[in-house]
Amino acid sequence: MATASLHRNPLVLRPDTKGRVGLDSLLRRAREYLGGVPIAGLAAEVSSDGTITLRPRVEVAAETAHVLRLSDKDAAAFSDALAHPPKPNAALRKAAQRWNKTVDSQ
Amino acid sequence: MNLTIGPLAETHERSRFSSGVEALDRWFHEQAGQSQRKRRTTVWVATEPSHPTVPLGYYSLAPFHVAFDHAPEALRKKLPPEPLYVALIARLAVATDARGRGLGGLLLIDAAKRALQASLQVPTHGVVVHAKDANAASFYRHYGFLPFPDDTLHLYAVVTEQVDMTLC
Repeated sequence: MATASLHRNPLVLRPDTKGRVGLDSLLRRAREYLGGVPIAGLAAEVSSDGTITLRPRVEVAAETAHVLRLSDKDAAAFSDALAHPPKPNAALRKAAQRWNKTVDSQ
Repeated sequence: MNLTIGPLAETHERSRFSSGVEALDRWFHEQAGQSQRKRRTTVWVATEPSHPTVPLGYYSLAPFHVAFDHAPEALRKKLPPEPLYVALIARLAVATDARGRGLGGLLLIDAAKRALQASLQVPTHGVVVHAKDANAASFYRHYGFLPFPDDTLHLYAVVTEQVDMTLC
């Protein structure tokens, strides 16, 4: 598991004077932008002047989308968890006990 | 630490809140009220009884569903019919001056409790979280949330009777 953090600002790729954004440059900078964090993808927005703005899909989903499309691998993992739900771990149980003692939830 | 966790209100001094994560702070300062008014999310704020207007942390909940419409038929048969609804913890943040007191875990439990209570009325299959980065994902994994293998900044916990008994 990589421990690098994603940049918080979007990656903006502006076209050159001929209105081009090179694929090599785009891929290289996208790799740098991700910094080794294993996520499925980036959401791309293309403006009228050809500027490409890339943001982690998770950022876009938090603001706009109400659906998460699962890859086959993700769907298989979710299916396994539904069939064989993991028990609450010690950290969760301990936090629940602390919540019971300290929180007035309204 | 005694805490009150309740819905975002006009009396909360949102502009004073700083978690050190610019995106989470900006959303709370500028968009949380509107998001709640438009019923896109519900926003829940932790305060101390002695300072009820000063937010120490917050989280937001939203309806969400997971789709697997491209999955192979054999896999689809193992999954409940679509749409498969879950509760989404879209954001969770702790003020920098409230760190180190376990507040993040308490907010997460509070969010999970509300999601579970809601699922008793309208069935859902679990809770999904958006982790802002690898450190946030690590926080959720500590409490037993599982990362999707291909999208490790989305994590999930399924609703089970054992989770119900632990939390409710």
